[in-house]
Amino acid sequence: MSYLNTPRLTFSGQFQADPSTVNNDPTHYNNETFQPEYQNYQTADAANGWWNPDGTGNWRFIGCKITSVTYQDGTSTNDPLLDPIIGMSIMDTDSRTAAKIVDLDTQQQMVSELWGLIVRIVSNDGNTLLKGDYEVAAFSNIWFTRSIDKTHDAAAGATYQSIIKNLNWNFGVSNSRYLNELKSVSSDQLSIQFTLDRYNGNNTSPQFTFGRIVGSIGPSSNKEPKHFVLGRQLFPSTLPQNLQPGQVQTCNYATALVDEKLKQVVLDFGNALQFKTGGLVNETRNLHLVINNSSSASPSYVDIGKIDYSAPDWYMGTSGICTFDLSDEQLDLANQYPLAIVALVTTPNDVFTIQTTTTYSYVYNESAEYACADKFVFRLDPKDKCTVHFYATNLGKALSNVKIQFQDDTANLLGPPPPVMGVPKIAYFSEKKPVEITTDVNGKAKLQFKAPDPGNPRGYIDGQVYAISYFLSTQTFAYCNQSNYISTQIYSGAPETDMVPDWDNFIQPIMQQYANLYPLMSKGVFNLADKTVFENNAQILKLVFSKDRHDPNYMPATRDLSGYKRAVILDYLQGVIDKQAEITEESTAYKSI
Amino acid sequence: MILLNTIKIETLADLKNALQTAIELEHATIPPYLTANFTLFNTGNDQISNLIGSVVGEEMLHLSIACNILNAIGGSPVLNKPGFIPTYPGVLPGGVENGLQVPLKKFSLELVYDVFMTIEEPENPVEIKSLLVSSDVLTIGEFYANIKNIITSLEAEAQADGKTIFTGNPKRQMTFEDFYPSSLLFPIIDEETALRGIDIIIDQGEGTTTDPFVSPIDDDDHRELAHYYRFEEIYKGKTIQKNPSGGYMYGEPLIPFLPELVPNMWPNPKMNDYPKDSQAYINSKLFNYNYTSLLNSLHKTFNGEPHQINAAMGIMFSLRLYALKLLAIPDPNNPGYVAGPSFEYVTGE
Repeated sequence: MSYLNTPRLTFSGQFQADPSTVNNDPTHYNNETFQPEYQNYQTADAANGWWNPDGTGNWRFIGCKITSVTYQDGTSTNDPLLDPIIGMSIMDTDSRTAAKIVDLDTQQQMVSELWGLIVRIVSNDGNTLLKGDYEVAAFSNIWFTRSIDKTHDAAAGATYQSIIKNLNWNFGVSNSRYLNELKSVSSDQLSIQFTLDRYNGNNTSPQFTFGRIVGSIGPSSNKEPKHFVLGRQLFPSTLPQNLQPGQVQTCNYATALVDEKLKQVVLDFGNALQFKTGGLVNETRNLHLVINNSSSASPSYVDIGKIDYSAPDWYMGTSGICTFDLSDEQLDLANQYPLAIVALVTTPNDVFTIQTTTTYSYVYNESAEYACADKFVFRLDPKDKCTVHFYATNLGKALSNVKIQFQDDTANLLGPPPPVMGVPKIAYFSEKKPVEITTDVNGKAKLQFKAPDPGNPRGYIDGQVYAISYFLSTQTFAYCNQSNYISTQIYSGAPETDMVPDWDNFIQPIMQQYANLYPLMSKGVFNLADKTVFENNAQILKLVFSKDRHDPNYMPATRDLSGYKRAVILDYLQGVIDKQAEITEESTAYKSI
Repeated sequence: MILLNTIKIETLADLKNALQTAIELEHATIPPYLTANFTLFNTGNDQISNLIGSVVGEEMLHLSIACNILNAIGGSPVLNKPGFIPTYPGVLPGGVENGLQVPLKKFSLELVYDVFMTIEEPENPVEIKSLLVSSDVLTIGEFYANIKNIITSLEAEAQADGKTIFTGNPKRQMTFEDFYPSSLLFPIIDEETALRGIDIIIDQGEGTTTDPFVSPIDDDDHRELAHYYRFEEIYKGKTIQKNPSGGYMYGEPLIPFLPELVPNMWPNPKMNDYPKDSQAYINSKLFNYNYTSLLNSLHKTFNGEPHQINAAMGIMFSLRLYALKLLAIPDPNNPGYVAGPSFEYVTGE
């Protein structure tokens, strides 16, 4: 079960993403060459600290309202008189710091993760009816031509999918039929996805750091992946990587689910279409979801229904989720043949008759056989065992006994240099024979490898970042969704020297880098590069450096501290605390607020 | 000196109400102190800022002690209701209506003298002569003394019946070993610990009788000034020193104030005064949302989840980041001024 199953809700509104951007440029990590102006906003002439050097790292839901619900029986409403949950809010935490948005690495900024996000359903009188923890996840399927009236990040769209766990249902029986159903169907965890676009990166705008969000929440099962839907994978007919020079990507990957019990197809078109000025859909074609039952001899399709995106509030009201009823016969066909989306063009045969001819062209085809990693972003310390779970499907059903192959594609998929990435390589993926795993009867397979110690080849950036591509042995990566690869950060281990780490030779350079790269922190809270400040705040720093990485108060907020460095820093802080305790029994940590 | 309305404290229920008022009162000084302190950040006034910061840390301690006492007698502190935050400018919770108007303003020596020193002013006999003619007002010190008295008498009554008023769940007691020394923040479990807690509040705030230093934890290496005198040091620009001929005097080292870089914050900002589509409004709302989250977090801390204090600490630090953003935004209504934090309770989206 996933957010495309019932009972599901849709919501829309805004989000805030407030990352600090000084660290977007790899060269800014170099303490030796760092310039003060790298902490300034960019100008027409100078990139400086890019578009948001003062970012807090915070990520929040802003003004998100529930727009529709679909009950277990497949019926839907968007009327608050029929279900009071319509119009209620989706909110993040109300009792701790905001979630953080975090890049994997300065050379892999295309899988930003959300850490420490809480998701709540809040009634109009402010009561939290449901609360849970969003499991850390990275966005996927980013495309930079989503909004044709915008440029840079504002033009992009991308999707997050994860689960909400540790649920706290704060009602016995609700007057919302939807909430009662959701609780009875999926009381332990939920599935959530949302699409982000039209982000405002203009620091002079009141809407700076805000963007548009639509999303959906539904039931979740432990047997299914957390970060994608075991469904029908619809690929643009011309894959983005195969566009000719000058051609622009005008549609993006979509997923559909055939719900056999309800005899419906549920299509998630949330990150599929382009938008134009005013946030309106930039599409005029007559799009239909079809079953492609062509044989090699004769092309043919069975029309399931029109994708009606034309209403002005279609996107914000439905989150781009479209539902189609199937006849028994269509359900049978949908289980045998791939789905597709076609653009129909109807023309009169001549001006004097009512006869018309309809032609069609494929806009989307289903990638019938499909393999996908459930989690695709990893942070590893040397010797950490990495386990990646895969699911392979054929027409949405488990595909057993197929091989998934892997290769190190760091040089092709990540960027930009300098400094050079992927040196040294992970030996496991660089051998002559491809690494292979085989799916079991449930279509599942596990890739396991142990992280090597990459040393410190990048010098001023810790560790190495790698991209591992994968594909079914019957396919090649060139015909896959190229968002689907594994991104891995492997931190450096302990250096092979006799150096005893102290403030000057070890702690200070690390803290100087944070002070350089996260100016809001260094200017607004603690200048960590200053030994006196660092030591005077040893108690609070020990608290935040020792928190779980998923905690929104974890330091550093960018999650780029290696296990080794963290251990040394905590040791050092403990030493300072012990020394302070000798001097005076009275801690002064509480006076630093 | 702050004067409070006399509150009837006779029953256990009265005592709980009085402690709730004490909690609101301790909290109410924090936004004005914090606001002034936010405006000192990165202005070269670290010495002053550290002094104010130390007072804020102790107000947090006092709030914690008051909550612990209320929990100890089976009450439930409330920190997350809209009315918990006073309106600024206005009188402090429990205060007399014509009392001191406490504002949210940028740091200035006048603010320290006119407001902060008045809030923390001790019960100095010289001052009291003219002010305490009326019997229906209390100083903060008297207010706490009354609380001590009623605790003693209610507990004596209860003990006579073989009972105690300290019926609260000890698991609700918040101690925070990493940040507050156990000599200052300890579980309140009986009359002795309750009275000791209140003495800490009185001593740190107003100081003891005639000595500006807080006695219980003073030693030769570490002498802590009562809040009033910390503010007086700031106002005089000098530190308190022992006078060779007896008593104390203000002298070196100096505590200079450099006003040049202090942001010119429009006093007593309100979120809704800003145009809805302005950066000031949006950032004010984010600040207030974060501040409300802090109150929610503290409410949880003192209502059965003491470990939540860790999350509350995180919010306190991020509060400053939001405030600094506001102080960098021109006030859309008042040319020449910048926006500032309004400390308002927000709910809903």
